[in-house]
Amino acid sequence: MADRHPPTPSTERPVAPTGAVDDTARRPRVLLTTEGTYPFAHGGVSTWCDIVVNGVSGADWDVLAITAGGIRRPLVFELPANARLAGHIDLWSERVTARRPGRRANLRTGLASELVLGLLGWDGDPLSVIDALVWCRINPEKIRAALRHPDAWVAFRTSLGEVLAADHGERIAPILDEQHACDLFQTLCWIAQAAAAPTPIGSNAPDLIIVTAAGWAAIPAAVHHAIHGTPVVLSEHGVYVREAYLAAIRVGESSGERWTHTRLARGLARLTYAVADLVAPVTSANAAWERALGADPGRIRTIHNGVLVPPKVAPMPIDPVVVTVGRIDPLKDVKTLLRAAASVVERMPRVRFDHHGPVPEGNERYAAECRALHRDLGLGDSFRFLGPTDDPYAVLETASLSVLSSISEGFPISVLEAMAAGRPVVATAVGGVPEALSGCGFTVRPGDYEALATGVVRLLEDPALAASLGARGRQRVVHAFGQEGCLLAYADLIGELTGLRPAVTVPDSGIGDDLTGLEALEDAEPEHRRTGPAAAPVVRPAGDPS
Amino acid sequence: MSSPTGPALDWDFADRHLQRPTQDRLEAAVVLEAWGGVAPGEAFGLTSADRSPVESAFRPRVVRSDPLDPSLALGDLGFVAGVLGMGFYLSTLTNELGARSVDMAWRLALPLSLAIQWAIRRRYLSGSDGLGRLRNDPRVLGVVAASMVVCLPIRPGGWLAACLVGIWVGGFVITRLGWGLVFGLALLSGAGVLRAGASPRLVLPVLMVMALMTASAGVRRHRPSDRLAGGKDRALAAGLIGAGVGGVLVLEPRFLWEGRAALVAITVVPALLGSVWGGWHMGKLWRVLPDALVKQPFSSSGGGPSITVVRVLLVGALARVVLGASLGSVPILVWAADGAGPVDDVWALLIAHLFLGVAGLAVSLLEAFDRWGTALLAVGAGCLACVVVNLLDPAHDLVPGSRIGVGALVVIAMSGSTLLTLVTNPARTLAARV
Repeated sequence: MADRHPPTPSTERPVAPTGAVDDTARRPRVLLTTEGTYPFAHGGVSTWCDIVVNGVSGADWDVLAITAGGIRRPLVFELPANARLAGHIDLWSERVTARRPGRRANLRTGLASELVLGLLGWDGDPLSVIDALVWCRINPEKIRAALRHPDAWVAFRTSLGEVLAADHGERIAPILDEQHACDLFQTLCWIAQAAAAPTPIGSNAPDLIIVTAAGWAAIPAAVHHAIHGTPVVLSEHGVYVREAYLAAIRVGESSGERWTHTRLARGLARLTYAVADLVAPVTSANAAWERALGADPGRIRTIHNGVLVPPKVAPMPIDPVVVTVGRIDPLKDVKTLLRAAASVVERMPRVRFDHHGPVPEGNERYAAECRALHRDLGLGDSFRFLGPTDDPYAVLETASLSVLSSISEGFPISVLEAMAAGRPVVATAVGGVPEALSGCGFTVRPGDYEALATGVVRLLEDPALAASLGARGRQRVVHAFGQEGCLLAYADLIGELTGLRPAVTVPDSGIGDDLTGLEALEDAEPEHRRTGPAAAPVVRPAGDPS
Repeated sequence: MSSPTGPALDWDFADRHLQRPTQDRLEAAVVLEAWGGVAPGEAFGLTSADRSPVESAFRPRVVRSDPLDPSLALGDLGFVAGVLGMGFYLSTLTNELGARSVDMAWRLALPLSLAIQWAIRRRYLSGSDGLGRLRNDPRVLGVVAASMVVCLPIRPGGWLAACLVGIWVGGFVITRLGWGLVFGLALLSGAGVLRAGASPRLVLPVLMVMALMTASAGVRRHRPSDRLAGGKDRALAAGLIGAGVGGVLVLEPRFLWEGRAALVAITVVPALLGSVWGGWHMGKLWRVLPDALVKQPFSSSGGGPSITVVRVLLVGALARVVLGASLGSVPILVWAADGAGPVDDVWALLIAHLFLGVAGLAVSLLEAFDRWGTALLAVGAGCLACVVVNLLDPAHDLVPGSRIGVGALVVIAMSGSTLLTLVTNPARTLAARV
């Protein structure tokens, strides 16, 4: 979430990187490319960016943000002194980077055709589009003329026909209509525009580019990499291709739309994996997708997200409260959460569910559907939508446990924060959730609201088990998923790829390594509540391979 | 929902969940992960076995197009009303201020107002939340005020031009706000006050201030839009195109005004009306064309019924320009025949203005297709043609309206080939609009 308050008390302290720091050395300059996230929108990726940009304070950060739709967007994250917004590409807006007419000589009329073959072809070589993208950067004034040339349209159609006719083992032969072709052509125009957008050069030239999504955010990075040889790191949170498929399923697109959207996402992801010197997923669960889409296994290095650990654990509330922190988004499957809540309330009427999270732009309809379901289920005050929060730890202090019902995740910070706060977690086993929770919570099959409800009821009925899982989770975060470790890993990575190792600063939570909070947690629990865990049939402790 | 249990069943699981055949193995893996609880690595393994392809046939999509927003044409109608209203003021103004002043004011104000109107429409008013976008940028009022201030030092008639610009631009926005009746009543009241003997030096500035204040207040009442304004360069180009159309209109020699200024001024109204009607009809293109394209399966060769659809639409728009101008001309001809002016000259002017209406439609289409470079060249050439005719005919022997007619025909000729190319391949035109 944006503008999160670090746990109190908070003082900043520098942290020595694992290697030696030379104070006289030049500060590394890092270009961070984002897509629909930092610094214009809330969410997990934005939070990660905020943590890293603030925490790796020994680097100078240039943020190149890609958004879409021509919407007025205020910054929702305040950039620190070592960061600046170096560029903002607004796709599908009326503000085009290169609109002015240019000379018509040497037009690359095959531009759209090259992009179709390289990005949409099942077996296309994604690196084959690099030359075309670099041409866009060098000749921004010629892009429009090139794409409007009659030959460009003819070549595009021919190439699209070839891709559609190719034998690629798909189950359904894609059938597009003419409007699909128009939409795709426009999308390719925007890819060309994104490639043309300038990246910092000269004294502001980056030593390293960190791409935060294996999609559009990689386009300017790939071009800069090709021209200047700057190393590129992909920090992958959710798997881009997986989320594109989920979005297509959710929206119920026509087969043509689904095909163009997912194929393009696949093409951009493959381009990113091919270009990146290092792919750094936030969970090893992402690596399976990355390998399947062509990433070199030798260049995949998991760097987990990390969170600050609050110094103390608040006592459990007297009345049972189940907290969820996350945006209202189909990927979070809030409907399953609502159904689970209804099932829990039926069994334990005193339980209250508090949902904290914003409705992102474009999700208004989904939010309305959730509210309608809330009404239909008769949840009333038993389930409250409380909107976004800037202070998740304050929210978690009110919680008996935390629930996550997502159908897709990277390495969710909300789960780590619940663990750090000493709260047990019941979550769907997606993405990196089992890896995060390993042995410290319950995971259930996504969409299985009864299992989710059973997990919640089980923990509420057995506070000792809840306390035990909460304590183990907190310990696990301290040892494995602390913010300091995450920041040091990135500082090391920057140092490794640039030869300039930046200093790291983390807010001092005051916990140190003594885990006094854990004792406080366990002390707070009545002795009689401490009973051993027992597995429910449909709920399994995370990390349990059975 | 049951759990997937084996490779074949996993595809079935995905099919059942999606309630349609799964597109490919990646989609199957996504479904198994998201709804089957299968770990990512396992999901790929389970879906690696190919399934036999599913036969599919083209089924046209059903797209729900938003209806055309009638308010989009209101601003243009407001401008027409403003020109008509001021046309009726002209006799009084000519008597009070002199023909030279009024002529200069008209020549200055018409292109300037059209420029501002076209620029505002392009930068802010495209779309139903246009007024909200306009509200976000209070500098527009400053630009309008600056344009008026530029007119002030020009002698004679600079102050009158400034007033006309304020009234026309204000009226354009007021009518777009849906307050056209208020604007019309204000114009009528002004005419009444003038006839009652009030000084134009008082009435016109009061009307101008009222128009701008009303427009400004109305826009401020509107809910701000989240959408950004359009690009400045394209708005500037649109403004120059509008100024060019106005330029062709006012490059007629001023002797025409003497004695019958109102009649001459009002002859432009039928063409403006026809142009608004034709433009409104052509605005359906953005609904009709996608509707046609979704019904047409993609083939590498292209072509298809969408070309016919667009051609029919274009012919319909042209017919509306002609019909609107013709119907609007009838009362003017009757008025002329009643002694207001020489009927032959009025005929000539009406026909010239009709050409200009068609030219205006052509360049507005080019501008809408983002071919503003061609549109600018066309109106520039049109203005140049008017100047050339003026130079070749210093004695004004040619029939009235000849400059406008020649200029308009040049604009049509210059824009025609590009327009035909765009219409001949509507899918490409739509696709390459970025």
